[in-house]
Amino acid sequence: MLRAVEVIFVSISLALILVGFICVYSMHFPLPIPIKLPVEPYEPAESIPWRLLVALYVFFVVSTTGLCIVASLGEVFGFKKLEPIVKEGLLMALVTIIVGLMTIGLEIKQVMRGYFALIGHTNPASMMYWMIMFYILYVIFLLIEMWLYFRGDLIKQREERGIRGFFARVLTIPKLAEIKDLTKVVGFLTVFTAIIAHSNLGALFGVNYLPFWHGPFLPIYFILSAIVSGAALTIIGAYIADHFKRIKIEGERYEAFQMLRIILGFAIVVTIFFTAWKFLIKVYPTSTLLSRESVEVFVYGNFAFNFWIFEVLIGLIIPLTLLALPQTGRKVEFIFLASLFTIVGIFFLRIDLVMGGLALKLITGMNFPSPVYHPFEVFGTIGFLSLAAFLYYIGYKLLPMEVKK
Amino acid sequence: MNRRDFLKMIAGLIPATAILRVQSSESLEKNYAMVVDVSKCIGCGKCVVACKIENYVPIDSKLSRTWIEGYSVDIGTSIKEIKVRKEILSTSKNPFLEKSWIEDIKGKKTFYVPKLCNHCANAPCIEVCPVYARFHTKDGVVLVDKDTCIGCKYCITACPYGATFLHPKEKVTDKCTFCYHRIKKGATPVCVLLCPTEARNFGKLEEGSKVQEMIKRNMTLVLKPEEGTFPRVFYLNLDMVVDL
Repeated sequence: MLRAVEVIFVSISLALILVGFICVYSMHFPLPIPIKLPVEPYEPAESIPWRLLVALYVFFVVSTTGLCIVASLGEVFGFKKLEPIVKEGLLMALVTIIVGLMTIGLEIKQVMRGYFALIGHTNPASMMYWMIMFYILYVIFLLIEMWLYFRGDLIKQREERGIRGFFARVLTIPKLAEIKDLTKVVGFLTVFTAIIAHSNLGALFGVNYLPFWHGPFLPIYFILSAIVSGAALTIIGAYIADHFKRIKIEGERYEAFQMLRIILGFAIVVTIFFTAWKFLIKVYPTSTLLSRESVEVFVYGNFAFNFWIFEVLIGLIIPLTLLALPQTGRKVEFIFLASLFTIVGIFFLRIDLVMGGLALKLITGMNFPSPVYHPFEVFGTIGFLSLAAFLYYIGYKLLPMEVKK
Repeated sequence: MNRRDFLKMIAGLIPATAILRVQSSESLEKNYAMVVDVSKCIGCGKCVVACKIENYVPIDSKLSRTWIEGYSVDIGTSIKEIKVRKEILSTSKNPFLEKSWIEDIKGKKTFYVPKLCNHCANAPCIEVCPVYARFHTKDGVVLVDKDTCIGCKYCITACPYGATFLHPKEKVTDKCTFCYHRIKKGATPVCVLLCPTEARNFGKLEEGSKVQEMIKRNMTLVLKPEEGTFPRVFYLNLDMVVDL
């Protein structure tokens, strides 16, 4: 039976998804029913080209890569301590990539022509073409990997009644006895594709001659920040699930959280160095004027609040302190709190990277940056985030998420 | 087909696409080019209005295929004190006729720089487009296929000159085409036709043509040469404070 808290969660998230969908829909087409919207639908033409939804897309694909990396550490690379959280990691990786691809699919202005990028009109010289190809490959590998990983438990779940049993029976239709255990091979292919796809996304930004983006380190930086958000999201997903199941986190599960704490802390330390040196090199007097101006936007310009408060303080310093101190780091609640801070920081880091990188871009007649965020975009973003949470909930309900003994 | 043949076929596909691309850019010759004499431009904005009407760009929108940047430069005693005021004319409303501008430019160096798509020989927008909606014609003009463009706006971020924009009505990217529909019939682009001072000159880069002679006999500059885009819009008498 559904508990009261689940009913509240489902209804709130469905309402937010609906509002977000209406907002995103009205960005493309006139609404079929005559509703008087309190705000004018957002007009993207006279503004910077890539905005909040692109940042959200990058956030989602960063997360999926990171989740895949963290889950693969336990599943493929033999980090035994991480095995108890592999299932959560894989499920969230699937959810985030699906919502991420939806985000970018609805962000492009000619939604109905999106398939051109897959067949027919393709340009292999474009980074975006490879991004699309690699992410599709990644989704295929991820689905196979998840199926292989879950199938043992799915067979047990066949016996159950209701929708869970039906779901398990549908997924286990293929004859199982003859299939070799290829989980590790497919898992390796998945994480390999994820890293290629994600660093390619970094290159998509890096090839542009915008001073804040340009350079060969952006792809590496993307992989690094993927590990940060992957570890943090795994902690959040696993903690919330256990919290609502009223299970105390202890034993192997606790050990997995401690392992994630180390991974997250280490990745944050490296990110701090990456950020610091990136900014120092860009403001150093020997770099070009444009490069210096591109960083001023963050140091005391339009994005200063985002950068100093969200990205540096909430995203890096507070979580690192919480994780490093033994008084807080040994408690699961504080690891969860640190991960929440990190994820908020990473989300604003994406906004800064996408929108702040374009802040210098002088396109004729372009208005920048007021308003920075249009209400429609904000509601669309909240809708997509609720959709991710909702899909995670549904997946958790349907799949055999119990930890293997 | 056995496995070896299949692998050969896959291996052959990648160079094949590369060769096709090289071939399509090899046959470029007798390119169209534009030469803009900055010292002749008076900032009247006729080219902007004409372009918008000719090419169905909303006239009130700040987005335009061509625009004029007005600079008023105040040189102080130190080189760091150069004060530049910059205004952009991209609608039918002319900021250079406003009182504040006229008051401001008294006694200062003032000039107007018309800008448009540079029709780069090495065009970043063509390279980045995921669906090949942008291409070079054989006479070197960069065009957008509006039936293919998916509106991902990658070209807008890639263009170093800010010459590409999202068309507010059509929801695809748009930019200057050198009025390709006109020049193929032997006419000149409307901005060239309507320029009262012949600041804009247009033609093919062939022996004896006007633009060829202008480029030969004068010092010409292109915008952002460090990007290696090899623009086909050349500028005479360009000042050092002009950016983009």
